[in-house]
Amino acid sequence: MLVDPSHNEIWAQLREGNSDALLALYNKYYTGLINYGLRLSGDRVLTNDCITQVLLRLWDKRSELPVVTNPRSYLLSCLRNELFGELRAIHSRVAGGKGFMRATDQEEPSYEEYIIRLQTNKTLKERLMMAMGELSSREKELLQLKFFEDLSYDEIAARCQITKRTAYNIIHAALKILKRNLAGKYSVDPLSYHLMIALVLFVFLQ
Amino acid sequence: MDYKDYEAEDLLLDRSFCNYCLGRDPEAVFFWEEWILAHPERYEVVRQARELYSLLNGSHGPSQYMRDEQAFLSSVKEHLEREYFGKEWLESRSPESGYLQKQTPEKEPMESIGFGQASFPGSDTTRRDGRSLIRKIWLYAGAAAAAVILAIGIHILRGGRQVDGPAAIPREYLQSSGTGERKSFTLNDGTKLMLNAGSTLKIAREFNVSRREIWLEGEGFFDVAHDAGRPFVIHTSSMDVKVLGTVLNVRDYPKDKITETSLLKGSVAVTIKGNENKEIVLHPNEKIVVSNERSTVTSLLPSRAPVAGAEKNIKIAGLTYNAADSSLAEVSWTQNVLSFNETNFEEIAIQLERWYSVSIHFGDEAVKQFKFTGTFQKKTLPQVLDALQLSRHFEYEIKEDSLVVIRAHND
Repeated sequence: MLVDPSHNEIWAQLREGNSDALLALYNKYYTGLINYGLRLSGDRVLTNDCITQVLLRLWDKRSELPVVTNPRSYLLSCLRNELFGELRAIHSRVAGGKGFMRATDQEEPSYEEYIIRLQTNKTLKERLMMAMGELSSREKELLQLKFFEDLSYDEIAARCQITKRTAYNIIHAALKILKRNLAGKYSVDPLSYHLMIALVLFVFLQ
Repeated sequence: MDYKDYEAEDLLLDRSFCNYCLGRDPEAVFFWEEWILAHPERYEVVRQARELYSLLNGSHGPSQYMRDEQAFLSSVKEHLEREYFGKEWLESRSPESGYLQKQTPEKEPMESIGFGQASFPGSDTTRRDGRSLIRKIWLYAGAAAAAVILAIGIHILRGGRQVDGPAAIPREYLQSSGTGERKSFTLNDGTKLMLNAGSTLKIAREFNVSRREIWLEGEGFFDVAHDAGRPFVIHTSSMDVKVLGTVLNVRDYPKDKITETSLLKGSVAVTIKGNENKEIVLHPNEKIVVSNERSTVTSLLPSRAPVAGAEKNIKIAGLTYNAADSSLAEVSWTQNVLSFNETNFEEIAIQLERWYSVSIHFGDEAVKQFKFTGTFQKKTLPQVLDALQLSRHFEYEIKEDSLVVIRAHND
C-alpha cells in the first residue's frame, strides 16, 4: 500500500531538496492539519491555503531547516502562526471580520462538541451525542487522537504513555460502543438493503 | 483474520481502509473498491465503517480531500516552476493547468521540474545571489536548453512512433514508469490509473477540454471517470479503446507477442488498427487479445466467442481467475502480484525483465518453451525462479549487471 517513510525520513528528504517530500508531508499530515485549522478558523479554503503556504515556506528555507524530531507539532505551530497572520490581515481589511473573532475566541469547542456540531441531520446529531456520552473521557481522547488528529498507534502510545496494544484495544472497544449506539441510524429497511445487494451482485456478475 | 470476517470496528483500525475512506492512497482505493465488488455481502459493514470514519474524522471524505490536494499541488507546481525557470520566463509562457494532478510520492511531481533541476546543478547557491546577472544568464540558458531538448524529444517521439489520431495535438504530457516500478496517479478528469513497469503514457495538452485522449505504450489499469459527453479514448500501437466510464486493463508492450484489453466493469468499444471501421464491443469479464505477429494465430487462449468476421489474429476470451484465491490474473500486477497461466518461459522472462529490471538470456531454445502456471506475491527474483524450478528442471545464474542466464539442466 502507500509507502510510509517515517516522519524523520520525509523531513530529511525535504532538507535535501527533494520536492516529493512536500506531497508526502501534505498527504501524511493532511487530516490533522486541516482539522486543527478548521477548528480555529472555520474556513476550509483558508486553512488549506495556509497549509500550502507553510509547506512552500519550508521548501524555500529547506537548506536552513533544523532537524526536527516531531514534524507534526512543528507543522501545527507553523500553521497556527500562518493562520493567525492571515486572519489578522483579513480582520484589518474587513472591520469586524467574523473569522478573526472566532479565532481569538478562546473557547474552542471540544472534540465531542465539534463533531456533533458538524452533523446537519438532527436525528444523527442526537444519536451521536448520546453515543459519545456513553464513552469514557479516555476513550474519547483516543478516538480524537486516532481519527481527528490522525496519529499513528506509535504516536498515540507515546503521547498517552500506554502500550500500542492498549491503545488499540481502547479504540476498538470505543468503536464497538459507538457502532451499537448509532445502530438505529444504519437500520436500512430490508427491502432496499436486499435491492442494493442484488444490484451490486448484478453489476459484479455481468 | 481475513477481511471477510472484519466488522466495522476492525476495518477502522486498518490503515489502508482509512486511507481508502479518505481517498488519499490510490492503491488502497483500488484495493478496497475491488474487494467490495468481490464481497457484496460485506457492503453494509463497509458502509457502516465509512460513516463512522466520517463522523469521527471531522466529516472529511474523498471529494474534499481531492479538491484540497489539487489546490495544493497546483500551488506547488507554480511555485517550483517559478523557482527553477525564473519569473520572466514563466510569464512569457501561456498559462496552463496541471494535467497530472496526483502522483505517488516516490516520483517527481512534475516532469518539467525534474528537468529543470538537472539543468541547474548549482541552483541552491546561485539562488542566494538574488537577481544577479549570472543567475539570469543561467536561467535563460537553462530555459533555452530545456526548450530545445523538449522540442527534440517531442519530435523524436512523434516521428518515431507514428502516432495516429488527430495530428492537431500541439504538445503533450508524458508520464512513464521505469522497469521495476509502478506508478499511480489521477488525471484531471478524475480518472484513476496505475502504470505497470516500463510503460509510457502520453496525455494530450487539451485533455479534458473537448475530448479525453491518451496514448499508451505498456500496461495500465484504468478506472475511468464517467463523462458521457467526452468519451475517453486509449490509443495503443494495435488498437483504440473507447470507454465511457469503466474499469479496465490495457496491455500493449512493444516486446510482447500479444496486446490485450481486459474489461472489469462497464463497456468499451475497441477498434483494431488496420480495420478501423469495425467496432468490437466488450462486455464485463471479457478481454480482447490481438496477436502482434500476423503469422501466428493466437492459440494461447481458449476462445469463448470468436467475433464474426474478425481478423484471424483477434480473439475474445473470458478473464482468467487465479486458482488459489479467485482473483483476476489480468490485473494481479496492481496488487503487486506476478501471475502466469500456462505461459511460455520466454514470455515469462519478458515480464520478469520488466518487473525486476533485469535482462534475461536463454542458453537453450528448449527451455524457452517450458510452460508455467503460478502467482507470486512480493517475491524476489531468486524466489520466483526457485519456485519455477520445482516444476521443470532448469538452471539459472544471476550475474553482475542484472544479467540472468537460464539454461537446461545438464546431468
